[in-house]
Amino acid sequence: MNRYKIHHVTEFTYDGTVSESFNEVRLRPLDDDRQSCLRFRLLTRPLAPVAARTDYYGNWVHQFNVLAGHRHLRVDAESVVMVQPVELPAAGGVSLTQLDAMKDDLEDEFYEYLAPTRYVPHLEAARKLVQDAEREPAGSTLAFAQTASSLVHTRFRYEKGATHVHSSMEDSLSSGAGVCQDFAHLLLAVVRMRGLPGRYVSGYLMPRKASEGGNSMEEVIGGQASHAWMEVHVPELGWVPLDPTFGRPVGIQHVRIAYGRDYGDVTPVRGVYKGHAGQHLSVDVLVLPALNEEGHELLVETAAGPVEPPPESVPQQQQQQQ
Amino acid sequence: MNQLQPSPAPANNLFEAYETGAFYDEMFEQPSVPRSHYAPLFQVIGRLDQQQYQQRRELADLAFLIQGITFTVYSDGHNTERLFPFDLVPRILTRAEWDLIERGLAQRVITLNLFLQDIYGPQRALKDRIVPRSLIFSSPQFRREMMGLKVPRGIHTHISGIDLIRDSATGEFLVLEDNVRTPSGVSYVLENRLVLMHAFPRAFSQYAVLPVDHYPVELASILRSLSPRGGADTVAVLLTPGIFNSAYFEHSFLAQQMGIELVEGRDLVVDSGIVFMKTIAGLKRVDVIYRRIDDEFLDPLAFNPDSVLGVPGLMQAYREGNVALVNAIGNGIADDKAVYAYLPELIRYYLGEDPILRNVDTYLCSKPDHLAYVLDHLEELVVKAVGESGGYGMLMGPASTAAGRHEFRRRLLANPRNYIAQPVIGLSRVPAFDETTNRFAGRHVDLRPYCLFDGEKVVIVPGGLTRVALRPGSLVVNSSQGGGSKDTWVLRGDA
Amino acid sequence: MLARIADSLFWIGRYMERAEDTARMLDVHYYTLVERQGSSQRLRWEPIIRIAGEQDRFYQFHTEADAESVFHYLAFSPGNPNSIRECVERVRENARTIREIISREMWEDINGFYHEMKNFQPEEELRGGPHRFCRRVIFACHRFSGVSDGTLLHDEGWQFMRIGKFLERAEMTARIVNVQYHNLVDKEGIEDADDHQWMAVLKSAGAYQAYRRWHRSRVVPPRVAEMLILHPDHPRSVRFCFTQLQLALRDISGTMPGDYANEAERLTGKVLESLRYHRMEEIFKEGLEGYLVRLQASCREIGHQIARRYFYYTAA
Repeated sequence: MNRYKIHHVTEFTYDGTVSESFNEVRLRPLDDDRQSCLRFRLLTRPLAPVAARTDYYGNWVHQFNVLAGHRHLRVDAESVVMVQPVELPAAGGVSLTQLDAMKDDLEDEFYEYLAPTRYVPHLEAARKLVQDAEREPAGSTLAFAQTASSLVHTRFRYEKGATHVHSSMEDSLSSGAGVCQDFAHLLLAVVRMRGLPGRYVSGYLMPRKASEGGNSMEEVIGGQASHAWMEVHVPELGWVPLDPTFGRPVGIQHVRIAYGRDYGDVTPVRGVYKGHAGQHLSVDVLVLPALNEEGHELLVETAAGPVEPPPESVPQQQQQQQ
Repeated sequence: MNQLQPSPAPANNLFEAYETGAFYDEMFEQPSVPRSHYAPLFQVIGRLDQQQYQQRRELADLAFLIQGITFTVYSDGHNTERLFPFDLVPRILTRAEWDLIERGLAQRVITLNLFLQDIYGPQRALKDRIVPRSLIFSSPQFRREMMGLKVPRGIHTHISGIDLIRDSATGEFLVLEDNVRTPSGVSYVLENRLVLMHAFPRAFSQYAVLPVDHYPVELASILRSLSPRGGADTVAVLLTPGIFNSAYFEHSFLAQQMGIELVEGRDLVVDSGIVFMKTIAGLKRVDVIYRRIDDEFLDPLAFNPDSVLGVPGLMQAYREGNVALVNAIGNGIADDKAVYAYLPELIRYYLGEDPILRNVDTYLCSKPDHLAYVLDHLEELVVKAVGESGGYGMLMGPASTAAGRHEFRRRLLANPRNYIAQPVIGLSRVPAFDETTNRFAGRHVDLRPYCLFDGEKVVIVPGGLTRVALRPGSLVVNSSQGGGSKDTWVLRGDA
Repeated sequence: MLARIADSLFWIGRYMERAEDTARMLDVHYYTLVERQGSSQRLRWEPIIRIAGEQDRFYQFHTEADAESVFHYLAFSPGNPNSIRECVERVRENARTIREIISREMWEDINGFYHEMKNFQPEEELRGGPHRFCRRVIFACHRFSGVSDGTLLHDEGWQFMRIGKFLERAEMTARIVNVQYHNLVDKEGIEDADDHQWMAVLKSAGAYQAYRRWHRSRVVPPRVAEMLILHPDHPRSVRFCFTQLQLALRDISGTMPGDYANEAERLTGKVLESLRYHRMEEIFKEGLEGYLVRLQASCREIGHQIARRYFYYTAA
């Protein structure tokens, strides 16, 4: 199954009246040779005209403002996405020694994906992971990155609520726990410190069918459909995706929304408003398979009809950390 | 002027015991022998006794105080208003000197604009390896939001303040730094002139000095030309951070001179990509914003979310071409002090010309060999942080302490990209009144001309702001660090 | 005109008037009360504090209301946001944010006033009494009126300044009458209050000479109240202030007489009708205190409505 419908609901509730609210969201899955966003709709309440553009990294950004006073703001993003299976390289790429010789050229071309960032500082504490991953006998850059990914996967514990969006890498390094965002940042630090360009990916992880032996998503990432992983640039092979949280190859369960240097470049929803009220945020992500077992369309387009109940898999409805 | 023969000034005058020292003195060829273009001034000022001079000076100070021409300094958690010290002796440039400066500045401003068009566009200079990519991408002043954005009429650097110094060894004018973000100080140029004309009407009348008061008119016409809606009813505004900003007087002064609204961020609101100002009759569309708020604080949605000075959604309006910003966003990449070092190369690259004004030799600490040299010669060099201005983040080698050098050594090693170093230039001197001796004494000066670019030609107010280091021996001219200012005269015709 | 600028001009008018009214009141009552014997310090000095509407805050800074503490509090205290010095500072702060709007002469006048205020030494003034200080303030306020009327464009901005001024003055006059009537008549009985004190009430509202020309008789409390509330032409009477307020509001909105364009205009018209067609005797019958309390409440509500309509932008 490689076609999904995703309904991502973000709701802000304020203690008092707020006004002049300006928001920018990155919620539209991207299009490239591995993935097509067949349909995307963004609806805001209170209703506001939405302007779309792409940012520096090529991600879709939608912007809107609500000037009048309001106590509640809801953003519904609905997309239908088709994901193509891809062959991931099993081996290859230059050796680590060759990589060192390419340092200047890589820095010139990929400076932004090599330099430390706010969420991905190059900490001494992460150096141990670099050294351990370098012991990989194959000595290739791809093997290094894959080893680093599984080291991060096995040495760190997935723990919902262990960190929050503004947590630092020090926090997860010292506690040994984090959420997918922390896993991705950590692996980015490791590959960048070794001289390999790395970029952050935000997106969704689709549930696997129960028939395939348990809902591994529930086990692995605590039942969150919103997900983050990373891609490493291996000379001669190009960008290779790795998912240190999931610990398995990136495939048709991964739906990509945005690329960036770190989480700060791809924040799903950010906004400012006027008013002294405090805010409460809740996020629901509902994902459905879009085709049934026989390959027939399950989702008949209706103008404004209710979302049809999924026949097979259980809809995922939960809170997401922003 | 020719009929006025220099005659010896009366004895016991304020120039008594004046020393030209080992520096290029712009007024005197040698003690008590003024250069020809300073001779009439020497006659007038030389006749004054101390009391007469003090009277004029007090009148000038009072004029500044009453008009509230002050800048705000923050100390001990309080804001205090201070006068920007004004020295009455004007600095005089001949037409020949000015012509060279003017051509050199125009060449530089056009290059800076081409560079910004290129960096936020095709990046030819990076592909051709004129400037290293890492230098651009590692700069916090490089605004990714500007990539591919077509600014109105292709102008990024509408207003540039380019700091010049005069090398004591040669008398040559050198470029010290470029300021193409929100250069300030032009209001002092205009006010200094008014005050000086009142203080020394006789001396002034003996010279044919090029006027400076057309600056607001020139700027206003550039602002109007940028309106995305075209037409005659362009609404331009000046966006200020507010009265607590140290340059608030200037914001208010320029808005008034140009006849445009002075607004704060809270006066503006963006609705679906259109900027409006809040008036008593409702919302009114704004076409052009001369903003005196730094990039980072301009739009809390696009940049620093904690900014309360800016206008959320402004970047969207700018991107969609519904409003023009002066200067453009992201200009900081062009006046980064490390990029400065590449300017002569960029002039050749974009214009195929040799630079008319030379740079001060610059060591880029991002280059390992330069860094090694700098670390070995900290005592002789001036080290500057690339993104700072106003004399902050600087080490003056010859005047530094061991502890200061130790601290900079640490900073240089930790973040070499953030620093450059230059040899100490013995700045030229002009006489300024010394309060402790009640005599004139030579004081170091620099010059900041203000350049306006309308997309085709560069218009420069003749002269500019001469800043003077009033403390004896000091080379730091910034107002925050004991600097003052002088009126700057450019003479009409050859003198 | 920018909403913020209208707001600033409104407050310039208002604070300038507050400084003048406070100075006038302080000057007159100080000397009347210093001479006055018999009552306790508190009874003598507290009414001034009450007229200034500062009875709660005052006792946070002083335990006793006496000649010195009252003078210091009303004239100089940084703890009193309505002290004369604070008012002048706020006038200047507001003026500074709209320097490009007001005339250069106005700015220089305000700035000069501000520096003059800074130069007064409270200790020295306290010894000599408030007269010198208060005369300077009143003079400076009059000069400001002249400078602004003579140099500022008489556009909406000027009207907002007038609105601030007359709203403040109306409220202050109403408060003077209310507090003093209560104080002098109700507490001590009409007979006990001598002409002297009623003259002081008139003087504190700048109405003594006008009263003399109008009545040519001894100072009778009900006629004093009438003079200060209902007189059509006396520039400090409540009615006069409301007439000016209405003119200024209509000038801004372009409303024709007999109509109103917003809530502030409606309320102003309503109060003005009452001031125009009431006789003083009717007001006494209804209860003077209640009438004045309602008047003060209307002033506040009108200020609020003006702010809502013109100063605070809310999206439709």
